[in-house]
Amino acid sequence: MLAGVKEITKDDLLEEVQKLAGENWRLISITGTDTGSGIDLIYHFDQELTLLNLRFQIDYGETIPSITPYYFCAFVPENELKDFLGVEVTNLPVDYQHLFIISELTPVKIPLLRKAAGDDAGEVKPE
Amino acid sequence: MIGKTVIPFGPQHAVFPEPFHWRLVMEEERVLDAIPGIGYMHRGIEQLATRMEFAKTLFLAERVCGICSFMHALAYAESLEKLMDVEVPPRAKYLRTIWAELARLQSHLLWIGLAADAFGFESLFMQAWRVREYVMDMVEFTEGGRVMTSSVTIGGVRRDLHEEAIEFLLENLDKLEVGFEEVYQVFTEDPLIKHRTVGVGILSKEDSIRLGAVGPTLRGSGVAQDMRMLGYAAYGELEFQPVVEDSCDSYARMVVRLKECFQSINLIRQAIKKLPDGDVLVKVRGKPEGEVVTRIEQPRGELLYYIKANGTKSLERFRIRTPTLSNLPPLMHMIKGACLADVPVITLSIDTCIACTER
Amino acid sequence: MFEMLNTILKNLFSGPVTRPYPAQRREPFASTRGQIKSVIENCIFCMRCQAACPANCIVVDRKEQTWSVDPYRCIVCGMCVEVCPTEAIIMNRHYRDPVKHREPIVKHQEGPIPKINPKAKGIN
Ligand code: SF4
Ligand code: SF4
Repeated sequence: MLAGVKEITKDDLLEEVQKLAGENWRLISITGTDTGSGIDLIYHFDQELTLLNLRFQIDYGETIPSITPYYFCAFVPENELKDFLGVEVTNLPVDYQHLFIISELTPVKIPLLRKAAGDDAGEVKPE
Repeated sequence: MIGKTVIPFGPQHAVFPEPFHWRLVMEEERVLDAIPGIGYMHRGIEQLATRMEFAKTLFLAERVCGICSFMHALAYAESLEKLMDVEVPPRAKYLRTIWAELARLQSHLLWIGLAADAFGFESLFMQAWRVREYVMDMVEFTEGGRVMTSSVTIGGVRRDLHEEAIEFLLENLDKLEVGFEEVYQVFTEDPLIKHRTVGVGILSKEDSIRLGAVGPTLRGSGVAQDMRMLGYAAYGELEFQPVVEDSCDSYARMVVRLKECFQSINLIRQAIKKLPDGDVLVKVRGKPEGEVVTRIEQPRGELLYYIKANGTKSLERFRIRTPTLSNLPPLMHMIKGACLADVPVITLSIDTCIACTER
Repeated sequence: MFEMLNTILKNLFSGPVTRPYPAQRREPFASTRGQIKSVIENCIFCMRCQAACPANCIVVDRKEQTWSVDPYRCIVCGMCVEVCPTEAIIMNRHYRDPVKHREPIVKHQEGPIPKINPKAKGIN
């Protein structure tokens, strides 16, 4: 369904990204989804309005390498991944320690994990 | 030799309408390093969307941002239409285009006023906002609300433009153009404004791509990229070219926005002229399934929606990447080496919208 | 120089753009969404508005024959007006007034529930 997807593995990531950086692709963002059996990561790139998505899956608790050596701007979505999905990223130059967007006061620790939703999952009901 | 000082800048600062924090490492007057701090207004919209019915999420998406609310609703509707294979009637597409351009106009004029205020140019701020009021009137007259318009829905639009509304639009567009011409002249000719912006906050063409800049920040660095060229809504049938400036500084980004206002006026006129007849809404049945990436040009740049649905009444994943989030790394790059007094102007030059960044 | 003179003269002889607000108010446009009002006599308690409301602010009780809305939760989106089959909710173009206490508006219907054919729109 999604156009322009390239399935890769975690080990290929840095190599692929390096190639794209050499060809002047622009990093749009990184999306993580909790699929129930792990985390699905999509790296969105753009060049002249063409969209390219690199996609791979990791297990819960697995770490991913940071792509900041090639795209410095990746620290923003990588910190978001840490905040929202608890994905640990190695070699992150600007590390907010899980406090980029959420804070210590956020009641749910890793909000986008299915586990984190806990008992109150389901539709929001009027008070 | 003076050592390094760390200056906290914000979260409450006179030039930022929203809480935004800079941790500035300074040496004398120069900024050596700048670390942004956001997250003062996180609302958890992405998670809430996975628990609401998808039809109601439209209104939630609209509330991601208080300025480009229409754009968020449009992006959401376009995404779900792609997932559910809905063909929107042509008249609805044109109406979406008209309203999207009105949203762009009001957002740019808002920014122009705020920028004038940041330069200390109070009267220009008022002039810009006086002109903006014409746009707000048009928005309210045709959509029913000044900010939260709720006019887009999945499968079309919820309101139609009748004769009277089209006359009102054309009349106000003329008034707006005359008023905006004056503001434009001041911005492009005034030596004080040039003094504050020319050569300040340089972002070269290579850096802008490498750092992932979007929207007017990217176009101000000489890259002709505009998501409207993708041809969503009715943009594919209208004639326009992205506005590009080559000087790569704050002034270029300002001029891009000013010129885009004229472009928007032109686009609205074109769309009104070509407005086809017919229905504005088709019935949508079933539940969305699959995944989709939608990109839309917001006033601040490219907006990315990633939606994954699994055939139930709520979405599985709703990811929003707003333009300001992408513009933060270029901003950090621009601020390095700048004077402390230029920090507010440079920060404003990317048109930060913090609320939607934190969604 | 002459340009400046022009501007000065123009500003001297043109009136203010703003309005002395509370004394003089602009009429809201005809299509403005201000607040919702219930026409309880028409309500058939079908619960459609409750199901469609994105802010979850309408509570319909068929047994008690009451219809209530929390106006301070309402986002004035107009969905309830759109889905109501008997035009028992109407959109008013005046914004709601400020209040001291936030209380839901509860409407109670007297007598039997009207038998209105839900397909017959435009009964008013
Ligand atoms: S206008 Fe919208 S939010 Fe208000 S009661 Fe009706 S459906 Fe609910
Ligand atoms: S949709 Fe209309 S008729 Fe049905 S319960 Fe609501 S107000 Fe009453």
